[in-house]
Amino acid sequence: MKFQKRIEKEFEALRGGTVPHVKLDNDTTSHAQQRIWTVTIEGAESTLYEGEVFKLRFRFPDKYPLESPEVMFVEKPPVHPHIYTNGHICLSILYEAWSPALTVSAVCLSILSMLSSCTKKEHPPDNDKYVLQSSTQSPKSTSWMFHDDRV
Amino acid sequence: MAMKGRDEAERFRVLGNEAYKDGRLEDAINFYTRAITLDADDVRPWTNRALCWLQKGDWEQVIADSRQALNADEESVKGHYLLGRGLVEMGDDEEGLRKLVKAKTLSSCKKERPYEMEIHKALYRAKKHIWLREDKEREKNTAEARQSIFAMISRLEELSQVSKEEADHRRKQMDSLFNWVEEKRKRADIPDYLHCRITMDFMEDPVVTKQGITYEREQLLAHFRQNGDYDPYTRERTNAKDLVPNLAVKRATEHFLDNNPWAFDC
Repeated sequence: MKFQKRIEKEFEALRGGTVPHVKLDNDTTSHAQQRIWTVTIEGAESTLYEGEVFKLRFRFPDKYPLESPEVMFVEKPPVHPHIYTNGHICLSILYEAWSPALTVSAVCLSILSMLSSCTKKEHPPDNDKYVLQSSTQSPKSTSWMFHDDRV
Repeated sequence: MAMKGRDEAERFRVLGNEAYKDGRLEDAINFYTRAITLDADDVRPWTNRALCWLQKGDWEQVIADSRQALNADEESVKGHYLLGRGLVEMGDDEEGLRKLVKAKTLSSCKKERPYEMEIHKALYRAKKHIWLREDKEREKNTAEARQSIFAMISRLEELSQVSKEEADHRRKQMDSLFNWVEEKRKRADIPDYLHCRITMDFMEDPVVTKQGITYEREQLLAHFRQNGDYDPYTRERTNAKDLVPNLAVKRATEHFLDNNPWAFDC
């Protein structure tokens, strides 16, 4: 595989624990070639999510990193105006603003900073409607409208 | 009769090539064998059959066939390349390296530079093998020498052949010397400016965008096709027409790999 080296490097970087608040979930540590990784992120200090731990699932398409990974929260997603209760995340870099220069850790840091800048824990206003329509779909098949990048 | 044999051999060789292209290695080997039986002086079925063995990982056969190929044509680039690969894989790094260097020289005399990239990679692989082996020896030698020199100093001290001051002084000297050797043995970090931001690997054909960022050409072009005409890192607009080869990075990569053969990974 052409991008094997890159996947391995990203894996090593995450396993090495060099990215604060971000680490690979135990069941992901066996194989870098696995197409699905579970990454845990921990809410930063002095933010609404301090001490909370969330699980992100990364699914790498064949063309990764030319194509974005599919990223969503699993188990209990954080309560956040851009995160739907089915785990889907409204964040432009995961979709049409993806760039192959981004990495798993860069994505995690973006998600963490999205959590950190949040001032009120609430679900997206259209949560119920969205979850109903897209419950079993990949978040990548949604045509996202990116309302407010500051939250 | 001889003429007819040669025509037949040619027919089998072509059949072998077709089989090889389809990935039918066993068939290809059989066809090449028949071609060789009819005409052992043609270098091509020898090198082609060696290539089949290479695909199968049968390095002894690679060596045998590429030696026969060189008997048929001692200037064969492919023959030298395959023999070099085989020898390196079988642990004869020095001899393999010599064959690969010869392959490189022969290739560079030709206009189309056959197997240039393959030879280039095989050379680095051979150098890496040699470096790793020598490094192991260095590690062992250093540890042994350190231990025995310290033992000798202590012995001399016990026998009152040297004073305690002198023994301490020598121990200090040896410590600093051996620490320096250990420091030298450490592997340097691979500078990230030698890595493409898409592949996170060394670049074979580095190109620089007008934003000044360097990428592997093939992957950057794939990115333009997939995501549109922008620099992946700066996100500013750029396209295939703006790209310029980054020869300095290419040179720097070669220089780095020459000094750090362990870093080669392919």
